[in-house]
Amino acid sequence: MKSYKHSRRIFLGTVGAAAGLVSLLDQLEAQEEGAPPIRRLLTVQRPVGTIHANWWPTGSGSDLNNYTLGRIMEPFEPFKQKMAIFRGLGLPHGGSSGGGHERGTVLSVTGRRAPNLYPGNGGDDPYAEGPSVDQLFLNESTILQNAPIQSIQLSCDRRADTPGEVSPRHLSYSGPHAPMAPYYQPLEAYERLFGSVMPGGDTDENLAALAAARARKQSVLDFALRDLDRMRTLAPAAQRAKLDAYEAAIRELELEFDADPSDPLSCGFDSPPEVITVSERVDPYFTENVSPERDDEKHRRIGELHLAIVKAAFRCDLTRTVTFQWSPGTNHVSFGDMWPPDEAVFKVHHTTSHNTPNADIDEFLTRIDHWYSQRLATFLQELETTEDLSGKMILDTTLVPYITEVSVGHNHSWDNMPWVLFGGADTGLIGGQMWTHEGGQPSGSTSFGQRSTNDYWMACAQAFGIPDFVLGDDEDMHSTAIAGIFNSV
Amino acid sequence: MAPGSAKPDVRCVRAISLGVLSLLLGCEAQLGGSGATLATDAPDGPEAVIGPDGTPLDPDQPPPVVGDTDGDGIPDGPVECPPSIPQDLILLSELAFVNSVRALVGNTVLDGRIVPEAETKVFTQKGLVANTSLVSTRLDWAEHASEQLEGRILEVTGCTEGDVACARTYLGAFMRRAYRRTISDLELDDLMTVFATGAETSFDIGVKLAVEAVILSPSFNHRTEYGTAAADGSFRLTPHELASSLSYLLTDSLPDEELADAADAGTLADPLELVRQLDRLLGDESVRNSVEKTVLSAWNMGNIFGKDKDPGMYPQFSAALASQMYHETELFLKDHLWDPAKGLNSVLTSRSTYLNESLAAIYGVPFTGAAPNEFVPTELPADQRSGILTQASFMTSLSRTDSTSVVARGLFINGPLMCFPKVQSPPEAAIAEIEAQLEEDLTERERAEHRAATSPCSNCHSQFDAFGLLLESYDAIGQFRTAEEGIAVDTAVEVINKGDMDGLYPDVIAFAEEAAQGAEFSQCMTRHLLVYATGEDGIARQHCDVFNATLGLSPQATLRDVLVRVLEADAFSQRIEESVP
Repeated sequence: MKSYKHSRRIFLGTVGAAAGLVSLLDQLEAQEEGAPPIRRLLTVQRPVGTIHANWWPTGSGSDLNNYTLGRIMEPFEPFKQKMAIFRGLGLPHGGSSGGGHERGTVLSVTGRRAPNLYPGNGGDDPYAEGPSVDQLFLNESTILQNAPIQSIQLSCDRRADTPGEVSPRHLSYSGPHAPMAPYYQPLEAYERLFGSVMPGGDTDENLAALAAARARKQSVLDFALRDLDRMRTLAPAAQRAKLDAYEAAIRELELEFDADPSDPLSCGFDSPPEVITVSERVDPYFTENVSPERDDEKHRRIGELHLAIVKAAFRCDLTRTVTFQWSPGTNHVSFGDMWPPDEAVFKVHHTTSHNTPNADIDEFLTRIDHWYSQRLATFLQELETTEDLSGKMILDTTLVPYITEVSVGHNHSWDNMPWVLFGGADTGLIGGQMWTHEGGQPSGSTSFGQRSTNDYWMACAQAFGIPDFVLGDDEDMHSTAIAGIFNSV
Repeated sequence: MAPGSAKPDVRCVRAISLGVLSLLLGCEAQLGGSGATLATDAPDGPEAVIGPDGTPLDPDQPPPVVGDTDGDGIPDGPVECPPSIPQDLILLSELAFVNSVRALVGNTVLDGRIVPEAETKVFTQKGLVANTSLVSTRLDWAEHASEQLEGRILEVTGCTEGDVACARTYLGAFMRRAYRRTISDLELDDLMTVFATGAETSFDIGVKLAVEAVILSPSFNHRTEYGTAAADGSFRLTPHELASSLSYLLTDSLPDEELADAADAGTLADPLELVRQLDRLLGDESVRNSVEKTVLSAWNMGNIFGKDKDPGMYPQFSAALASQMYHETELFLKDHLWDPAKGLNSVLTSRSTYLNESLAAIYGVPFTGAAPNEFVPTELPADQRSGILTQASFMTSLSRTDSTSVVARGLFINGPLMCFPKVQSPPEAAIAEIEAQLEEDLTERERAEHRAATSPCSNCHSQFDAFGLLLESYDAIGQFRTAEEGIAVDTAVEVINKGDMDGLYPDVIAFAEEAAQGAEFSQCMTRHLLVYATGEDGIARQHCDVFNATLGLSPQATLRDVLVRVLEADAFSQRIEESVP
């Protein structure tokens, strides 16, 4: 069994002292002196699109208060004033390659064409041709920077259709062809974020030990940086980007070690989460799509633990940028209590979506999408009622794009993408909105004639002080940021 | 057709020799992405081939083959094949990294860790880049490795407390081994500053910290294929780079001491010495095991571990049985790949395998072992079985839960086994049709016939469905059958557009016999090992380097012979400078 020790945990363990939450206090002092306020980005992805008949609210106008939420979104009723629903978003998919869920994932998070495929895997695994939007925001927004850990990637299920597939498993990319691997085990995420609890207080002796430990770790990282400098002098120009990527990673680790150790308990997380062993079963297509075991209970537990860690990390301002994936779009999680003809069987989410549509399958997919809504709504409730250490409710300062990689799972349509935004007052999001594409109701055709999902992301950029942010590798991938979604912040 | 003479894509080969790549169409799929000049310059559009005088050749007539004196459409000797693989900086895979750490500090470093398994190693390092999560994980391993020295500094280094000169000697040797090359005084001086920082606390911590620094360093985590400039403008891998390429190809780990010494001495520039090192290393069974795992990885055999079967139809199937199937194939390959009396191609035709009691029941043959889990040599019926194609492991891995899969099996023969040109995945628009087809109560042959008669399905399925139909005699866990639900199984097919493999075949046994006479299988194996050695997964079987490497390869060639050809191939040791956009 792996120890799951993270380097920072070992590092702090060698010190054996607590230095307190100095970084957050420093941040609060800095804010008083005019530094940018804290704001956070939590991108949440659910798989397999939705059932449109049960997703959209009914009503008229742009005021969400004049609408009744659809059955799937019903758990979001308490957040109506902190949400914006978008109708008429299309994912610009022309000129790209790959499977429906694979391509959809890459395009959703990078906004760039993905014409090239990884060799193998049946030819449906596209490369991302640029950084993901969360990393672009992070690079450009000083509001998102300055946390000890620049960003965290989390996922609740590793399985994809083939073992080596890249695109469906990643929401974050540091650059072209550079996926950022998520943590699947909450314990790994916990140890990355919190290092180790260090009782003892900031005595002179402990602080001296901390300083010595930092110096040792710094010497290891400095050695790597000097080695990189030497390697650069020898590397062909075409290879230097790889060394730059290594350096960027080392620099980020430097920041982590330089940060003051945080006590998970004081951040609201009282003990390390358990290790959860999940099924490795990959469900074959076009069968009964029934699994001998039920995955949804563990799936739920992993999601809850991941999100609890996110909440604690936000509370102590350890990171401000998180991508959270429930599962790859080709979701192999089996669900109990969901299959209308026989709730005792454990049907698998994605493969079932590709059977010939009928009322049972629609109901099954509706129930699962509702299940994911419930999980997020519960978490939003926690963010709404939990203060960070500056005294603000976390949701007030957090923007939560809620996305999925296809619009309809069955046919991989990318029309009328069921994406939502949640966020509190300090994000500038104008809540209670039902935004509809001015071009009229979407036709449901396969042509791209709707408002680009990139325009959605470009609007989100306003929450992070980068109103001129542009996403997309060409003019036809985007127009302008959707107006009227955010107040000037 | 004589073995060892399957055609290279002569238009591609000739075009390369003529330097008209940008005008050549249709070579991309065959040549793959082995170099920007090969893969990216081909424009879209109808096929056209430009003659040496710059005028288009008649597309309806096959172009003349350069160097084909006997008129069989195949060059008689090596074709011109300029180097095409760019210089590279290769990040060690997770398996290679962990194996290398283990070679440096010993097996105890694996204790208490989740270790990547060779059985499921990834054939191509897709998506592997240095980012924070990867470097963070490697720092974690570096710390764990240095912890292995706790309380053992004197034992491991031979240095007593405070003997800095001794520590320098130890760390210099450690660094040289880790970096797989000679190191400069400057580099060692640099490492000693890390030692000094740790030694402020204690001598032991100084040594441990330096070990940690080496394992995290980018020089340890990457291997280079830069080479040194040659007169023809290409770059030849240095002896140290050759040693690493050879070692990671064979063992997924760093060179052992003897290979490293040969690199230091510069003798690896001599091809004979490289082959001598190959033979020496292959003398170690663990090295042969590693290569066998690479072959299985090229065939995606690791997929069997995630397989599931309908318990109503196949109650005997379990994860344990899947592992036993895998083990049978391991033993079979071990027996056939290296034996000159059998030859590589016997993998396609041999009926000599190893079975335990459970597998004997699957194959329907008597079990002669003393204990149920003993794997004993067993001869399978000649009218039912033929090599790996009919093994339970492959048939199980390439089937659905409750039925066979003509498509998966056909794609396997077309792709990983024989390396025919890649087939595109179905367009989005075809999904509804595929689903409707699978909902129908049809046999796999009826489905295949429907695809053959339906556009656009037929465009792609005509390239591989026939291969899958040959295997319909084996159910979803590899049991032989002559009928399915009362309907006789028909395995007769006509293979078309596959060059020398074209023809009518009554069953897979006849097909395997024919394939064993041809060159495609050994060429494909050569391609796989060349890809694994270079990391260039765009290299196709039709690549001129593969053609040259397999020219005249005997039907009795072993995997060792193929490895020799890989080492001798220009693609193994020559690189070009990649232009920067």
